[in-house]
Amino acid sequence: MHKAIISFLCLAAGAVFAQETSDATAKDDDPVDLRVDVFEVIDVTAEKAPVAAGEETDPDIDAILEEAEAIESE
Amino acid sequence: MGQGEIRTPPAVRRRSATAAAGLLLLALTTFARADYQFDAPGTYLAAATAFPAWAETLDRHAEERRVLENCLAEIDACEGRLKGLRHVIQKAALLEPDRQLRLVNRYVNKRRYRRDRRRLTPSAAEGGQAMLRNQWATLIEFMQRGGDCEDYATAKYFLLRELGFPAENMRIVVTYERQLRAYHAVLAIRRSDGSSWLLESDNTIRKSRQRGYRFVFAVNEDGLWDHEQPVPAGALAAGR
Repeated sequence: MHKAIISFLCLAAGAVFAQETSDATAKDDDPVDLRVDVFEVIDVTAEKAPVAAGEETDPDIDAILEEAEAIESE
Repeated sequence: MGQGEIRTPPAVRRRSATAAAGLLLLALTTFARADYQFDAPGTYLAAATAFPAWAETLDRHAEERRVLENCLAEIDACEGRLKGLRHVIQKAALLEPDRQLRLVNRYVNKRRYRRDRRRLTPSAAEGGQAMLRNQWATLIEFMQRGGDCEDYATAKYFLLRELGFPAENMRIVVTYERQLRAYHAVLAIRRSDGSSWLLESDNTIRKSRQRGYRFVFAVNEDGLWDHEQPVPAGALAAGR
């Protein structure tokens, strides 16, 4: 009798486990989710250091940037 | 003309001229398409919430808005670098839009480049298997810690939103840069004449000749655009 109960419990647990496993491995074929997955794993890391000659100089902008830097370092 | 010379019949000359004009038109079209197109057909993919890394950043930014508002109202409420940010926002408000773009571009580009941590999260397409993903910073996170290229672009986006630039005219665009052989992010600005500017992290503003880029995807508060696999109108809705 005990063996039968234990066997039944094992089978029930196995069925539940199988159900959960099959849910977890089911692939989502939604086209939006597939594309988002592609986008999310892209390693966006290209580094481009600022260059002084990158943009035309503007005395007002230079002054604002210098003031901001001074305020931040106070 | 010598007697032995063979003359090209007028019909052939016309066909050649038409073919040359066609090739020229094709070349011009290709060149024009090299610039970022806000209205490229079939590129809209989904709402911004479909892209979790960005949706989470928008949520965190919304929570941090109070910190920024308090700082703008009172300098004593500003922590660390936010005092400098406050100064830039206040001064920028007095400038015309083009100079606001230049100021924001240069101010954000002065921040420290720092590769962000990638985090493991479940993938929908891989049956819940964990995949490494980028994290996108809010404006305040970027000001405090610095970031890598998509963080520069998002910081410019949020800062320009503070200055009143409409979301519909801005997108954070992830590109593949052929010269660097790496993925990069820039902020695209839609101009009133229909052209686009790209705010770069090296302080340049690319107003044309954006040919070195292959645009991959773009986001703003309103949506997510796929520039690699444009879909015919209605195809996504039908497939869902």
